[in-house]
Amino acid sequence: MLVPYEWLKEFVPGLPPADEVARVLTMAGVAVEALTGEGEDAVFDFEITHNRPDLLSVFGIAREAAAVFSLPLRHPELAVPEEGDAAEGMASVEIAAPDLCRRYIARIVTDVKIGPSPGWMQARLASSGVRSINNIVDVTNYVMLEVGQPLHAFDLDLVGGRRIVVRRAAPGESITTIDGEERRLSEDMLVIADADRPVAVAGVMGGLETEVSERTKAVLLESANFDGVSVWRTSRALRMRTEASSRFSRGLWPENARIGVDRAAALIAAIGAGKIARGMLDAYPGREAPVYVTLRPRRVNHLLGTDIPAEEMKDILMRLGFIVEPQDGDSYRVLVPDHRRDVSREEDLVEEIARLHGYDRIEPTLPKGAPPEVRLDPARQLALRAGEILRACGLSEVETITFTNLEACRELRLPEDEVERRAVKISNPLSSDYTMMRTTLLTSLLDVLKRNAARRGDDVAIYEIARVYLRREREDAPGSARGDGLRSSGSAGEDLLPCEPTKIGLAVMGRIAEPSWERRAADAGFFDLKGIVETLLEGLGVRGARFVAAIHPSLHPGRTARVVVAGDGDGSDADIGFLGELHPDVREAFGLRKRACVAELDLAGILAAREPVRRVKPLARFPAVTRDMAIVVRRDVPSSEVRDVMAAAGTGLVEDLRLFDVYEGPQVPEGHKSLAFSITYRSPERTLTDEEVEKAHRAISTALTEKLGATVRE
Amino acid sequence: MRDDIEKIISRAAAEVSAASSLAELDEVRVRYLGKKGKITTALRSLGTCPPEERPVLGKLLNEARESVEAMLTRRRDEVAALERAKALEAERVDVTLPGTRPPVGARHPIRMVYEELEEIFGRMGFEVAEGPDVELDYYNFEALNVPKNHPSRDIQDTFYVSDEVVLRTHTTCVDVRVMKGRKPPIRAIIPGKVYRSDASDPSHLPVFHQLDGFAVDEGITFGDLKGTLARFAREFFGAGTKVRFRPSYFPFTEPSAEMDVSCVICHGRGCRVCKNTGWLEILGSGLFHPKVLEAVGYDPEKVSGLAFGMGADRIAMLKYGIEDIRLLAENDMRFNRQFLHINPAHILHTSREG
Repeated sequence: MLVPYEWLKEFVPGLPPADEVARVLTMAGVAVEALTGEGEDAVFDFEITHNRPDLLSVFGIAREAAAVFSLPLRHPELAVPEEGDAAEGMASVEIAAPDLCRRYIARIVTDVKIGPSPGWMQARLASSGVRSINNIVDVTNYVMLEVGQPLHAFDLDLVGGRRIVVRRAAPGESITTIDGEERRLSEDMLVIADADRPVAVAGVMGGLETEVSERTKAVLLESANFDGVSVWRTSRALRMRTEASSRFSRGLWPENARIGVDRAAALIAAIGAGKIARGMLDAYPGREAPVYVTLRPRRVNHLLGTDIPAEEMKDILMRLGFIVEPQDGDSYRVLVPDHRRDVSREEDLVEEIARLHGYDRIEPTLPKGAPPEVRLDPARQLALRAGEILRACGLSEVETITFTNLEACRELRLPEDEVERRAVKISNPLSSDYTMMRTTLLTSLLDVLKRNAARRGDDVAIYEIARVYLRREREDAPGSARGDGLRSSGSAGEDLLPCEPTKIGLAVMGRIAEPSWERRAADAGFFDLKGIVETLLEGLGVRGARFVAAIHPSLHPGRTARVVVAGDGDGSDADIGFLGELHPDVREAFGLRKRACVAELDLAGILAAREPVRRVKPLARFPAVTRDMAIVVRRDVPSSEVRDVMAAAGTGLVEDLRLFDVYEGPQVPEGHKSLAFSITYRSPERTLTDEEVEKAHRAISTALTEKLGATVRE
Repeated sequence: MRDDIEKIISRAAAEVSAASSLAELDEVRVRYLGKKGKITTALRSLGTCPPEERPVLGKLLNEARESVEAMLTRRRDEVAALERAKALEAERVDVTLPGTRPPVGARHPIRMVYEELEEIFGRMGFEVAEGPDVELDYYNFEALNVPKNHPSRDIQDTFYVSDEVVLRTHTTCVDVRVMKGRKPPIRAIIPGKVYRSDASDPSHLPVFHQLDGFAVDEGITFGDLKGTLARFAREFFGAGTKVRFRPSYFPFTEPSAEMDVSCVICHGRGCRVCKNTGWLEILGSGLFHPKVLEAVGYDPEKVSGLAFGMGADRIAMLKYGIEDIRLLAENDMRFNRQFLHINPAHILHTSREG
């Protein structure tokens, strides 16, 4: 809000220079966003907080400045030189919706001479950012800027029946507003109507048909108090934000209507734009009881951590227009001035006292007493650890936007019906890119790969530990664990909220390591990412995770695995995620030049699968024997199955099984592969004899032949 | 014979010192001390000498052998050292060639900021709490003294999922969730994503990050709010950081205050970043509004609470000199990977010197 310094000074003549005013008011909570111009020509740009509609005017700022600087305040000239007939005989005012209109005042101006307003008025309007129109309209704008009361001038001769009715719009009614737009009105909107039709949208904008023009001879000057919530809803529904609507929305006080209309009448008379009829039409059904608040200086000091004397508190409040009277005990009864509708409790007075006393004069302290015991969230600790491991594996952290859209899901080949069923949709999206919350981190990670690829960044290794959002299905009980930290089950409405499980997402495209002069770096593949997943799981305390060939719509059908861990206790296995190489169609859809592998793991699943605290194993006291074994099996036998057979047949002596070669080619029969293992035999109790090792080795060999049809090559 | 021995020794000495490799030295050893070596042969031929000379000659020859052996040993060490030196020289590398680095991933600046904030507030006894992004209107607004269908909702442009469900516009709603289930004293900070329907530009994103925090107990004061936040500012932005508190308005605090810190770029002298004011607006704060305390079942006459909220993106931008907030969401590796070389301690160090 722009306020010229010289206008402000008219009400507070003793004001210090503009830059000091700006500094002191800012520190008192009346923020000056910018100060332009020099000396007397300076103009402030105030940023008024939402709770202080009383500051939305030059006089409002002046009143505050006078209190802050302890300077005398001059009031605007309100004496109206009335003449001629009484207003009462010239028009009538009726409030048919007293719940939405607390007060409606009309003054009548006769002998109107429409013309330009005086130069001084135009200048002040201009420096406040308002265009001059004609003397009558300029006065209404001037008064709004000066005392904060929106006014409207109707051409009285065009008001049907010279009658004003403040009522809700009737079904099907519409109005053409001053801006020339036709507005359809709904029945919850408040309008100003004449005998026949709406002539203004209350508190928002006047109608075109009753607008003041060069032909206007008589004016009905409206100064009213409309319900803020109603005006706000109407202006939102009609998409019309005006100076008037934003002021009413923030809440004006009925007493200001009288000040506004008198000030306008006084100015109209003073600039010779018309004659003011005697008296006014003042419908005031919403007179409010005075507001009193109890002030306990001890409580003020208790909350602020200060020892401000009661006398200073009293002085501050009186400067601000409060009336302070002693009450029983050590308390005071404080009468809140009309314009301070934001003050209704003692805490509000605490702030008034604190800000005029000066926030900077309050001593900084720390909360007393030992800090409460801190609760650590195991999932959070796990996530931090996971990040450390992944960065050590060469993956960089990303932080992505949690929105996505159906098109991105389509490009990922995600089944549409499932996305439709589970995605949380935004009812008022900002753009078509961001219409819903992601259901998987893949959309976000692929977006990062795409962005980098578009900038010739073909080597990207990233991770993100973040949430996905899944609409609750019947089987997901409200408050069910995953990621719902503080959700109290059964609490009202909680079942309306989606699940927000935290996922660990990984994506690797191209090289992970930088190539060097010494070593060429190859592009990462499935097994590089799998190795990272294995390192991660083991680092987080999950042992024995299994990887089972699987299908995922976004991934290569032959290079996809589910990650499975043994379920807790009930013998069932639990899926904790998947990994795989991106399906070539997906890769093309996202414009990626290099192959990419991705994985998504569930944090809660990992947390549940973690082994309890693991203790160190004693170091082996007896020597190990290492022997190799090469076998040929059918191509479709998973190596994990081979291992399982070997471990089971090893009669407890197999300490380690290391697969060191996989071969398919000329020396191996068609449809078969050769696997070479290095087997470490050891007993914790004794040195193994050659016979024992030989026996175990043979047992393994036999088991492989019998169970898997393997040929063992010595 | 004696002269012969003398000659043998002096010849051997010459040959030993002429030998320049272990192989040559070995040849010398064989020539003198081998089975058919000169000294060995001479010793063997002692029998042909007159008996009275044998002890003397024998002694001389033994001494000669020892002396040649000693010469050989000495020379062998020398030659070995020379050969080692040669071998090492052959292995010399250009130490200015680049090292082969293991791949290392970078942290994202937002998470770096969160981690640092968690450490700073953790030292003051604040635990970390989290809550849902998709939130009930009740927690996001109503419990925080922002009624439904009320003009005060204009302060924040909200994404709606349904009438009852919003994308949270601040992490302050988690304050209510935490307090609702527990009794004071509590100190907690809440990191998390928040949503506002602002179009993307250099200083706005529809999804961004906040850190809220609060402490509730008997006797929490406005002075405690100032002290706690001033300490945070010094630990986060550097020991010389000054703070100031300006009155402000938030529906859920009373009194409310905005905290500015002395500009981290110009240290208060005035620059483009602080618009020549010397101050940067960092966070909003205040004492909990009694209606909030009442909403969680606390008695505002007994308990009070300090609360604050700040934009993690903004302070990351200030701390790391990021000029466009969108960089934080784009994850361009040329940007993200720079944080391998940037860490909070480094920033603190340089800003103190600057």
